[in-house]
Amino acid sequence: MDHTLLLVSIAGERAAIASDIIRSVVELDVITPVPRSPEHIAGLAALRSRAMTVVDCRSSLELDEASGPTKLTVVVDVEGFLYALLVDDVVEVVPFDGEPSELRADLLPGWARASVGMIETTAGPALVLDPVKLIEGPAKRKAA
Amino acid sequence: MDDLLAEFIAESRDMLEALSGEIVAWEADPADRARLDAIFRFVHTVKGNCGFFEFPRLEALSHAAEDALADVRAGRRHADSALVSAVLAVIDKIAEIVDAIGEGREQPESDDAPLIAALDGAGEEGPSAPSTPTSTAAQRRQSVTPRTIRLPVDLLDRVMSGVSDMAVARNDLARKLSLQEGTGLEGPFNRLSAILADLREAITRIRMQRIDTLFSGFPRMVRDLSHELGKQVMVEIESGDVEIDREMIEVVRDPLVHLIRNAVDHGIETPAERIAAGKREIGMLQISARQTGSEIRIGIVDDGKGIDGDKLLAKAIAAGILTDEEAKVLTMRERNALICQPGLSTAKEVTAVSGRGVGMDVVRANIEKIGGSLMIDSTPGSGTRMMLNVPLTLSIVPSLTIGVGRQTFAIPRSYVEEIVRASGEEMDSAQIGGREYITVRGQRIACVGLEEILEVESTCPPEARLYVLIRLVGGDIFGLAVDAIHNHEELVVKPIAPVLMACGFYVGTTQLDDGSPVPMLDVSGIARSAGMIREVKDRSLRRELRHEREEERVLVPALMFRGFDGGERAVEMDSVRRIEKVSSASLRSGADGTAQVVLDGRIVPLAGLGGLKPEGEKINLFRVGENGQERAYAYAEIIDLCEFDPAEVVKAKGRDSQRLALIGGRPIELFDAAELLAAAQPDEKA
Repeated sequence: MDHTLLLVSIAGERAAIASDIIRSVVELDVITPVPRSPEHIAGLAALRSRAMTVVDCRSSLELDEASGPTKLTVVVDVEGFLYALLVDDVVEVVPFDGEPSELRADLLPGWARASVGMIETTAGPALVLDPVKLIEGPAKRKAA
Repeated sequence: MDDLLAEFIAESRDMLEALSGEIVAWEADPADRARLDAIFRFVHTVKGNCGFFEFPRLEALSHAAEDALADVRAGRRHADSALVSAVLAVIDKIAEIVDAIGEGREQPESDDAPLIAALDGAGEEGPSAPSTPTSTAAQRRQSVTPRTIRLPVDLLDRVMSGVSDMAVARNDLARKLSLQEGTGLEGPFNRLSAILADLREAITRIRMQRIDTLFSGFPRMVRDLSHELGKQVMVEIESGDVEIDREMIEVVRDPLVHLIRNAVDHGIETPAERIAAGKREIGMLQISARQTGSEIRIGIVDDGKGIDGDKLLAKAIAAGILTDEEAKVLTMRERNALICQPGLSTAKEVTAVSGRGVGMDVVRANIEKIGGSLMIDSTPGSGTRMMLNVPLTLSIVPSLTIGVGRQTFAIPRSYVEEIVRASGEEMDSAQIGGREYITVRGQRIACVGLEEILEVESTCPPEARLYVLIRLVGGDIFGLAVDAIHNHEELVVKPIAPVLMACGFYVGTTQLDDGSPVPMLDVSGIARSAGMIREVKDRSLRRELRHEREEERVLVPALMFRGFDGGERAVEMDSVRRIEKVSSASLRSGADGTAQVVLDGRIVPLAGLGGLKPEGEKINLFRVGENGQERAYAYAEIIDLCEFDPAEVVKAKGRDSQRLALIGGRPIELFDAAELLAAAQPDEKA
């Protein structure tokens, strides 16, 4: 593992996303809601002529809703689809070599599900998130 | 004769195309025996075919080339560059003449004698001037075949999405410009828009491929297949210069292959049968393509025995798909369309090639998935015509944009039958059993509000709403109530992310001119969620039940279903009181495995769940027993309607109550309604 990570802030915590799948960081103007979609899917938005699925990271991690509406997203490309991950803030890009270390503590269920490990950065420790898990969201609960 | 000629032209063209690589390789290495053989076979075939037709020029040319090549093959002559050039010149000439014949033009005026002389004289040193024909051949080749390059599809897609990006940026710019006046930018901007529109059209055409590339493999397939089946089939292919989106080629390939196999296997008879029926020994199969507007129509026509409509009808009635009354009013086309119903096939025997009644339904589903349609016309005894209509491209879908509340959605126009206004005079609406029905020209149609399905707020007074009448796969119509219809548009539809696809309500996303994303609705998913598809099935099921009792057939009709434990079982229709779909909210599933459901205001014991909590908002169940003594049994899905012979039912070893019936060649456990009634008794008393 020899690459860079993008540090973001979600619900006051520091998290990292591998930068090789990140296409851009954008602030969204409008999000088109998609009725009957899973709760953590905020809707659709457009990045130029491509549609993106907007994922609310707080909701996907089963955390409290943000106090103010955030519109800042990290756009990732997963299997040819673009997803915009709503985050509270984008901190910085840090180089990272080696493997994220295993987590030895019990985390909140959402974090435990979506993270692949922990890293030490110059800005302190951060959880490395797996975007695929963020997109999947919490285990299937029908929104009936 | 024309058919044979078309085949000859097609074959020659195919071979010429395949040969072009060989020729170049042979030119590089005249000693290459494999290449030499390939070229020899070509001229030999051309010469042989000329025997049937009167093409003296072709015959003379191919004969001369064959002689020269035969000498080389026999080692009597050395393949020097002069000979190679001479042979190439002859092949070019053959290609030119074949093209001319194919297009019905006059054969090009020129003297072939120098070409032939060059072949003869090439081996000897002398006054022959083979360089002249070669150079003209090379020139001609350049002018005749368009210059082409190969490109990775990825690159094309990138260019295409780049142009789409430009269009979105242009629209943005247009909005900003319209806010300011007198900038003097209108002229250049309009020019830019025009160029962009041109570019967009060109880019769309870049992705097009001649349909020949799809058809070229079919003659061979038919040849092999007819050989295998001991039949004689002649294929006639007419591509009409149709071009089709290359993605679409991949999508229609399998359905087409299936239809052609069916035509050869079930349509065309064996030579003996054909002679007995007073037909030509050789069967005819025509495959043709035509472009009409934004659709491509592919026809597969055979002169075989046709579809036995009466037999199909009888089978459909027996399988409970239709009633007698319904059957009487079917048009011929609707009757033939029954062949696409799962489980129906009139083939007497199952062959390895096709025909177990699976397949045609898949073919039709696949065609409809891409917004196409399939029509079947057949005259028993004289043949079948299958017409496949597919859109020109997958990515651009003629659509209707509709609105509910503040939301906009798109639906493919191909599903839309008609649009009626709630206040319209021709429409009458009524509330029946909690569902809205509208009557349009005497036809009563069940309706559902889009806001109800999608759980959004409608902001429109009921009397101002619009009903989009949607024709589903299988011909059923239902009404979708919406607040507004925004536009008819040709939309570029892209796949939607799997996480949204999984909702079952969307098939893709598209963008409006202002760049805002809009989901494309999955019409059949919506119909299913609204219970529209289920309802249709239930109705025919109940009718089937009555019908079977009247006729007292020897076979017992049954419903084959899959339980929540994954097991397949069949329940006799006679013991089923009703098949229902109820809301999951009305059932209770205890930890001890017992469950109850509320039916018609009563609590009824429910079996079949096995302690599982069913997913989804609706649950399928059937009811057995009399009033007050009723039991319900939940199942995951209906597999099929079937029949079994009570004489073939055996008891399974080990468990004395388990009985097995022979259904579709497999042993299937019979559901024991009496046991369910007995077992649930203590619960009732408690």
